[in-house]
Amino acid sequence: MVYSVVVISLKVAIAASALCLLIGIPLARLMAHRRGFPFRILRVITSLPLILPPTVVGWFLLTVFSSRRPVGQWLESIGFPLVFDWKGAALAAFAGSLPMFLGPVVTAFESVDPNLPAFARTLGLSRIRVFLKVTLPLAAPGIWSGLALAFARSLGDFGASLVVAGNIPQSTQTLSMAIYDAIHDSNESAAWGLIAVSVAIAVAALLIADRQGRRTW
Amino acid sequence: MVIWDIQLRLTHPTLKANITFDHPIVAIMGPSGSGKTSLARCLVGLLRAESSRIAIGDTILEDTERGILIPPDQRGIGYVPQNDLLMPHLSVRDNLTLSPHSMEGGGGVTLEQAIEALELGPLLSRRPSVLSGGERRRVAMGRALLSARRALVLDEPLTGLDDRLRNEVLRYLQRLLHDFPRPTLLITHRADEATALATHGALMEGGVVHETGGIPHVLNNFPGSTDGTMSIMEGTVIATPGSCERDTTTISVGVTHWVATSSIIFREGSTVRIFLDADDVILATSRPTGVSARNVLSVRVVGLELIGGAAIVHLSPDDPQCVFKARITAQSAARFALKIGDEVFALVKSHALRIR
Repeated sequence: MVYSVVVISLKVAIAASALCLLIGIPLARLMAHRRGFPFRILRVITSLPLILPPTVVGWFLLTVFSSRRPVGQWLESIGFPLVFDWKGAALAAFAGSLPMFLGPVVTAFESVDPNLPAFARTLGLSRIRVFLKVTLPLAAPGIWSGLALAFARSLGDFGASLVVAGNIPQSTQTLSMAIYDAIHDSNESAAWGLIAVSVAIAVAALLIADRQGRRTW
Repeated sequence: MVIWDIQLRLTHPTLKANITFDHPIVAIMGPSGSGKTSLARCLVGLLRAESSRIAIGDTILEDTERGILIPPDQRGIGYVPQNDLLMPHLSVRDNLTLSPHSMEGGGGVTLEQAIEALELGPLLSRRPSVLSGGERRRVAMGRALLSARRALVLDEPLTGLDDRLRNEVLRYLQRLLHDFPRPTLLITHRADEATALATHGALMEGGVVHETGGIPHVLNNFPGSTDGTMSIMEGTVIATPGSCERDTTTISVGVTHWVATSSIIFREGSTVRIFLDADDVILATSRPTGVSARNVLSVRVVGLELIGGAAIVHLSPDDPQCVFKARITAQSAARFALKIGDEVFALVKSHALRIR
């Protein structure tokens, strides 16, 4: 039981962190240095999961991805159901961790000396290569700390995941849900065991991120 | 054939340039804040002018009338920016090879040649943060050279270095321009750098290019510059130390002979530039006798400027090739009642002449 809970939690946290990298990095690059009205709206929208009750975030996701809705129906038809599936929990965890990820990453992009990428163009590098070879590596320490926060946050996601994916043992039950069950059932030893595992994973993740995120120049 | 064709107009910051040169190595001179860096940024494509035409050789990089605008990554201009801008996260080697052209020897220079010419070998695995100012400058020059398929733009490449390092980097730069010749535009606020590296140039002030031509001509026509009191003349060496048991070098500038002492021995017949500070020239109204000065020239006053309490007297032995300046007090000028056309004698010690 512990094994499946840990595996599901790790799957959820890794998938949510990967989504943060995939969607969060371009989004952060877009938001850096921009102060216009559309970007303020974007900032508010991406910060909402931080303020709203997680159940509300879950409810929004459930509404969009439920099998009764077109998006949900289509996803089900291609064999990618989200509701009552660990992938739904990953999506919910992603929504919750995106604002945590964006904070340090936007700051990291803003702290890159804009003269460096501009100059790199004169060396014959296209915009995309400048981004990959100059901007991204210079922002890497901030991206690592964003990733650590996002991973730790996804690992502990509860409310939103519960609403979207449910608490199905061996299928969608994550560490935080199993801990809730153990407390609910007054199973103190199981609760302590699961808490110890989640603390160990979180500490390991933060230590790795701290090591990787150190500036080496 | 025109090598540099630069026509630019920009309001913010103010920039107005109409320059053409048929010489490969040119200098843009002017005090700081005169818009030289904006000009460089326009050339490499990082700053867009309102109307522009930039061509190097027969390649048009920008032409607003014809809608041509080559992006910075396709211009092939190696650029040494004022503050080096080395990539802090990359080693020296990775900085040098960051340009996709560096590996194919795009500018006629291979990575190995650049490393050797700039003596970068021992630095290759280091990060920029541990390099000294002179080393950083050399890496920036190597990196620019490796991406300079078409031309080089050097923005104040010797600024911010102490005298010893300046001379060291200057030597590397001279060697680079000699060994790997390509159109080069040097931006500097110092006349000595311009004369050491370039043959022709232009002067900028307030974002506007004023005067273009050969370096001596340009500098002599710029009284407002920091070098306004420095006269530069071009001449031919006709006698060197050793020949006829002399200890001096004799240089003919037109029909005038200058006697100078120099630690460098120039070949007879070689062309050199003479630098003369206006403060090192003494004026006399009649031919003096019994003086130690080796240069006593009969000259005519061809120009007279009063700047503060001083008078800058432009002098020439009726030879447009040989024009130089003397700075005397306004009081002396008044005492002599100097006016244009007067004949005077100029006294210059051989030590006061610097030759390059």
